Amino acid sequence: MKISLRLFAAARDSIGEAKIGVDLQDGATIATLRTALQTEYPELNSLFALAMFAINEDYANNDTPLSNDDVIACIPPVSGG
Amino acid sequence: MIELTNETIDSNEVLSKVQSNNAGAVVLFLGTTREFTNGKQTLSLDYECYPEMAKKKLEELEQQARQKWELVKVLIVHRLGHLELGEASIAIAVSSAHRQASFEAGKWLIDTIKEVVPIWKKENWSDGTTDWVHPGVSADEQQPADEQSPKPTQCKSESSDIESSS
Repeated sequence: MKISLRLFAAARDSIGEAKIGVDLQDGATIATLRTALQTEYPELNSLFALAMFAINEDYANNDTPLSNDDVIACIPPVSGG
Repeated sequence: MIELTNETIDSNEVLSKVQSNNAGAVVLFLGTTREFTNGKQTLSLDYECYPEMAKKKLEELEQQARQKWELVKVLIVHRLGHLELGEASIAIAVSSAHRQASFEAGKWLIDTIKEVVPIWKKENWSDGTTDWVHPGVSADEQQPADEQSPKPTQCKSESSDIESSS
């Protein structure tokens, strides 16, 4: 399956896209996605290691399964306030 | 009540929105742009957010604060876009019948916002370099590759009145 991933801040600036498509096997989870990103973008290894991921605007756990229709976002460590 | 705005935060206006005859205490916290961080000089900051989720998380935090403390009114305003030194990036105003609830809720809100709300700041340093601030991430991954980068997600000025019936 192919999921669409929203990117922000350093992840977006480094990759140069606000949204990317990621190919994953069926049954993939947040953990699978994280590993795929670290493989594809080794220069962002620690960012993806520490990032949270959101599904439909809520934080998801590493073992949460993904689906094509989800709005998935990479949330690197935050610095608001 | 939650507001995400690209406009200057007017602290008097923020205060006036949480004052009430039912409140004997009003606490206002302002987060402002600091010039020096670990010896490095900041010229300005840029803030961006994941708009839909930032709004949702801030609304959830307001509701959690209202469950933990007896509050009369809550207003959280987060500034987005470009900020010069000294400008406020966030205002948190809380009112309650007695002061302890307002002080504790205000502190809990800013501490928790800094941990969970998807908002990021970029430091524009005096030496011309820039860094996204992602606590814990190695420094060389925080530097944006400027020129070809797409524009940040536009965080429109918006506010919504979601005050609960307290």
